[in-house]
Amino acid sequence: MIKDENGAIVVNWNDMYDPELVYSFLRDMRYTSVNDTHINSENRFTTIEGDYNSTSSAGTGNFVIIPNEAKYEDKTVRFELIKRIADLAEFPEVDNFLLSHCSYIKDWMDKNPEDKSIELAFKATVSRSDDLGTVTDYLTNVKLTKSIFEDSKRKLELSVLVLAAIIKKFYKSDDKEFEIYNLTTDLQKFNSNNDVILNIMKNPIETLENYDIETSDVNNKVLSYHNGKFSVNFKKFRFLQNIILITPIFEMYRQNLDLKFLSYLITMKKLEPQRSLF
Amino acid sequence: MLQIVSQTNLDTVIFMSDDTPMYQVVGLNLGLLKKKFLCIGTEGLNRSSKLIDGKYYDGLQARFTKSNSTSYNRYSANRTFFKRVVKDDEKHETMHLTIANMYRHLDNISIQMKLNTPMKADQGVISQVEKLSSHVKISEKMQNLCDINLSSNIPLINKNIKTSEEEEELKNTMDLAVYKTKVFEENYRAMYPLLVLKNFSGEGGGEHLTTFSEFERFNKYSNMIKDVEKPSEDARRKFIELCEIFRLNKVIKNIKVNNFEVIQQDDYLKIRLFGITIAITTNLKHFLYFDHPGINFVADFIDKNDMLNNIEAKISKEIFTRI
Repeated sequence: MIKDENGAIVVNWNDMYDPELVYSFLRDMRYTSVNDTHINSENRFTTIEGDYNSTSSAGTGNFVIIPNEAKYEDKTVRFELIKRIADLAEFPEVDNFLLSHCSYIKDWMDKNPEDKSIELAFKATVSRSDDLGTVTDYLTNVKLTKSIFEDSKRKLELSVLVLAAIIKKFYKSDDKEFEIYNLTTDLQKFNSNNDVILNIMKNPIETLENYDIETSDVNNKVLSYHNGKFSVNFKKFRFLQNIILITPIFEMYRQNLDLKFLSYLITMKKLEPQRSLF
Repeated sequence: MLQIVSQTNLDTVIFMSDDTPMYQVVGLNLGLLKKKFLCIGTEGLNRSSKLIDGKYYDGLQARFTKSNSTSYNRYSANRTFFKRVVKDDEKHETMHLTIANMYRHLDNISIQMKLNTPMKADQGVISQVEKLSSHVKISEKMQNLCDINLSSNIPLINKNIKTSEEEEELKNTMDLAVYKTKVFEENYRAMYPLLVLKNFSGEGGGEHLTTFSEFERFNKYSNMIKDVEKPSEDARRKFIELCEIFRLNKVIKNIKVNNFEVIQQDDYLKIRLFGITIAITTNLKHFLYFDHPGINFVADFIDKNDMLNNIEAKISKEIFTRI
């Protein structure tokens, strides 16, 4: 981060992925009341004009730092990466998997074209109160998510996320879109098992037929009705911290290859050797 | 077969072979209770074997003793407790019948029938349930049948009976109890498909609690139960949309129309048919495409009985009268 000849702060977008520079940016912004900002997309920098007052930490102003990616809001840097997928044609392996092994999901998509569009969202908020390790993790995940969204070499990892988002939308156990949290560990193992994953997507029955989905218990819900109370044990199935399905009768879904596939990916690290991506 | 073993003014001993239908035993008990002959419990009940017309019958010998109490409120003198257990080894079923006065006088008699069902439903029932879903495998665990526990209290002896009309009313009450027992005894297996579907609700519980009246209502539809199949797409959609409207409403928590009941709690919706829980769920919409056997069953049942309009009307009425 530098200051130009007029005293404006110039933020090079690449600096926003460096933890120490983000800290420095947040510190400077504490003392700056922002008057105006200018985004230069071509040269990838943003100019922030404002009044700097080192004796007062009452800096004001919310603004976009990197379009569709980072903004300064309430004295924090908020990263938000969103990938919208309107057509599964870009993901033939996902389309084929659903067509061949999850006809109910395919039916749903065919009859509800508006549900064909899915959204993957990554959100992280960096504030000055976070320690350097946490900020480093956030920024690693920002970079990782960006590379999955943009790098064609990581298409399979994106395919897995797209499939998971579709499955989540189908069961709709909560109203949230599919959110990407800390991907580092999980994606390392997906990446190192690229061929295995692709193979299972093409021919899931061989690997998954006798595989049992791993679920966790939700606290027992006590439901009441006219002649008493009864307790129901709900089970929860999560994938990358997203709730995919909550049900009191998981047994009914145990044969579903969509859920088996996601569960297998989670447990995969126990079965496959890993190698680091970074 | 019922046979009087001995009889005096104060004491009647009766042998009832195991093949005697329960409803006859209920009729016998009620008839004797009306004349104030009480069974005193385990002391008056013995397993026995008897030679009748050259053939041995296993059964129960029961002693009924005339109550000599002049007061209806004296507990010790007016306690009756009859229990009979009949096991059908071939069908793996055991029927328990208990007739007792629950309170301190004889004008309120409890008849309880508890059926220990086979561990698993037979193939015919499983096939019927399997036809309801293309997606769900009926695993061993889901083939389990819970026990059925059915009870009713009947007002039997009214100390103030004076007129012939009152006498006639009492007779009708007794006849009705015997009739309802007979209905249950002869038709309870029709309930087995619903007991298998209960497994798909996630509601635990070792037994299905019901009443004679509830079972009688079920029995009126028992022939139809056999014909229920996967619903048409339209019937399923209408049913699920209706349930979703109810799930999201903020005015009423439960509604009962004929034998169908929906109960809303938090985000959950519970669907019951004939008092049996068929589904508990948060999101019904995916069942438009993924076959939930229970929801398919109820959707087709409602469609075949033209009940959807009644349910819609009742929900609308309840909502409008409360807002």
